[in-house]
Amino acid sequence: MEIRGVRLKKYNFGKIAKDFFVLRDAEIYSVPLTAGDCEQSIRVVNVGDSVKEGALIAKPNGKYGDFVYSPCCGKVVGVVKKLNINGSLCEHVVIQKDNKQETDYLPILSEDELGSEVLLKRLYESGIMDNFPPYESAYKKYLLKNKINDLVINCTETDPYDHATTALMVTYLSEVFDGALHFQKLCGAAKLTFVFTYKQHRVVKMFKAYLKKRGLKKKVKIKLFPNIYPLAYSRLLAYYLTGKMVKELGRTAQIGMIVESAVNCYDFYQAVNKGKPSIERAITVAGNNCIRKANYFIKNGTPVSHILEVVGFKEDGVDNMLIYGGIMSGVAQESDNVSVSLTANSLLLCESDEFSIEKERVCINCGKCVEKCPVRIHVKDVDDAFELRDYVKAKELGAEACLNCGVCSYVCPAKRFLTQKVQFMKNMAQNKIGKNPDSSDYVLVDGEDFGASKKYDKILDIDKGFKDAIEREVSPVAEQIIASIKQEKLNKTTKDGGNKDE
Amino acid sequence: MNKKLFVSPAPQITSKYTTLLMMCAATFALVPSCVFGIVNYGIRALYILLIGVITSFVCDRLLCYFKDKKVDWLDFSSIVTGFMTAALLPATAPLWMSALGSVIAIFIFKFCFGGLGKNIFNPAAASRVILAAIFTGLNLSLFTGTAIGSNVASPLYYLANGDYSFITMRSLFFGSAPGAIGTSAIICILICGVLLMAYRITDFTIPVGGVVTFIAITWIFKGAIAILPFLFSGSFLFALMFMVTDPVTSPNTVWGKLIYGLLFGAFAALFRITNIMGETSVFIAVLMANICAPLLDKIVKPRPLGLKEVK
Repeated sequence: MEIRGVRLKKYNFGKIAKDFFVLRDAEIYSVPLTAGDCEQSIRVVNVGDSVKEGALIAKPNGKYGDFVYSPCCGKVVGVVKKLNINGSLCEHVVIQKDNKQETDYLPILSEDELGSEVLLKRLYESGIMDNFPPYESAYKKYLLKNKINDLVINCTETDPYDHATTALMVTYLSEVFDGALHFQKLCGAAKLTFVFTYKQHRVVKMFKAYLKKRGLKKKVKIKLFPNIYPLAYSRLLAYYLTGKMVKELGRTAQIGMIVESAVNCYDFYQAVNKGKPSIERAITVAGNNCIRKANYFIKNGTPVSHILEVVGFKEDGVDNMLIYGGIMSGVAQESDNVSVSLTANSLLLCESDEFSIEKERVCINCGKCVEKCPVRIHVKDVDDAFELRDYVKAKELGAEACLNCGVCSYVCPAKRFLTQKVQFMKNMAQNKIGKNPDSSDYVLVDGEDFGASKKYDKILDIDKGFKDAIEREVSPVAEQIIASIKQEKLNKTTKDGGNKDE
Repeated sequence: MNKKLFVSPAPQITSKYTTLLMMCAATFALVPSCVFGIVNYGIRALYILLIGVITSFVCDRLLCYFKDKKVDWLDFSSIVTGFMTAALLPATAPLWMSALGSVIAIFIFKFCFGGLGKNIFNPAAASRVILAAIFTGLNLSLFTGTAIGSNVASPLYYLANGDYSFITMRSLFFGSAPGAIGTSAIICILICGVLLMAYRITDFTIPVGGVVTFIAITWIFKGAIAILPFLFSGSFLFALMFMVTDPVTSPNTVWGKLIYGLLFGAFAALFRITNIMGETSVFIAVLMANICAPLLDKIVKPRPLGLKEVK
């Protein structure tokens, strides 16, 4: 199987330790009620309620959305409607932290009761999200009726700044592995495969030794791939493993394979064995303007301004760039007035000089974009179709297969904005001549709405308690509170701001 | 953080390969063989090269100015075209011919097709063919494949007659045999061409395909003894390394590029064996291959993944 893409190993902002630091707690958390661009969850708390760490603050809206839990113990001081870090407008629950350390986790599951149904319910409850587009809930993969033969744990890191997965594998190997076993039990897959890149050979060595110690060496397979970006897209990985490419709005479960990331395994272990819902995630904070580059466990809803304060940034004469997500497909933020949602693995703080924004030049027809595209789109022709706004031609050329990985823009010698153009043509082709690409529409698989399927009904028993409709309210007061707290902080001017709490 | 944050579209890094770098590399790859040409054929060769480069640059800037196209002022694409056009001329050519060749290349074969990236034919090869067609009356040695300076014959003259013993590999390798300024020193062409391929400026599939069919056809028609003399003479390697690999006129897909290379090798070998136009035959082969490129782009298309349902 030919692996297409680019090698990005030369971009590296120095070494990052392969272990974790815990970020100092912020005073204000503003938790977004949707992480991706799906419909938002329904809020179950009101202004003035006091919540414990791990308490439920939002529940799914039918088949859309996720359970959202409070990242800290404190008081809800407001509900704000603003843009989240991925650029969609949604409600944010603003929680002011107090000094209590009380937790309100889910009940811990004992080893005896771990069945497929129980685990699925727990995965649903815990609110774990996939960290790749379309940023859907992790449990949705397991709802298909196809028989699952393979479970693939994706431990690859092809993005140059992303070290969170390797760090997790080094520091919390047994937790990740137990999480993977839980997933295997959940989907009933016969085979368990761990996927690495050749660059991670040290982790692989460690992992093999660990398997030998547990006596599971024969049951677990290890597959190595060259360090070529992009590899982590689950459909693409399934294609490299089986030779079958799932359609864009489909699932890899259709070909009997489930791809799960190592970060999700860790989160699932925490949810099952500790009862801790998805309220924090391993995120690499790096970049050449960042002072304390490291891997952190960052809580959901942590303001980015707080993270910047803790990790520190070089204040030079140049403009800064703040990129959430990988360097290839991440979103450059307009301001630091956003809060983290649990969908990406890295937060980058860079000098804009390093990343020169090139002027778009004339295409010289070199064919590098066609050669490197991982899904084999004729990007050059789509670019031509873009100039004419010829949506029919773009559909014929297969612009709908685009992964939005950014390889074409990367390799283009004329520095044309190819990724954006192909995305535009893809969206327009689907809008005008295809079906409506409502971002929440992709849950429809096999011609059946799984929202009405039996498995789903069983899961929905869980929210019997939340039947009462809750009035939505949006208060601008919260913004004022945040501003006042910031002002107080400035007045204090603490010197120790930025120490890593271990 | 009170400062403004910088925002840019999605891949925040880009590869180091820019149009400027590719054109620069192509220009500097021509330099060694032209230095050999100047040493072998005298200082007149330098004047021809300089006039070609300057004329094409000035012509390109003027046309860009009138077309009001937002192209960088130091775009090496015009320089590489002028350089190549002049390097295809013999040192005995009149100086105005170099200027005329550059004007033909830039004006007719680049701007009349729509500027950089839109031309169908390689401008240098096309202008060389036009010059040879216009000035048959001038009896320029290289255009007809007979003697240069009336004493020594071009290698093609002997090859046409089947005399392989007159040509030494040494004279072909170091460019002392009669030929165009930039195309005689095979050793420089080989080294620079391979370096371009190694640094991924040009694609290796086209030269590989071209060499394969060229050798095969020469072997069939002329026998094994003729392979090396045919390969190393008559600007074939120059065209293979620097002209057909031109990104603008070659196909986009890998398979298309391979077929394109195979076609070029076949055309070049057939025209050389028949030896109708002497040195110009290779450039006609370049133009023939260029014509096939849009067709190959139509036929050989990548098949996007993930458009059909799988079971």
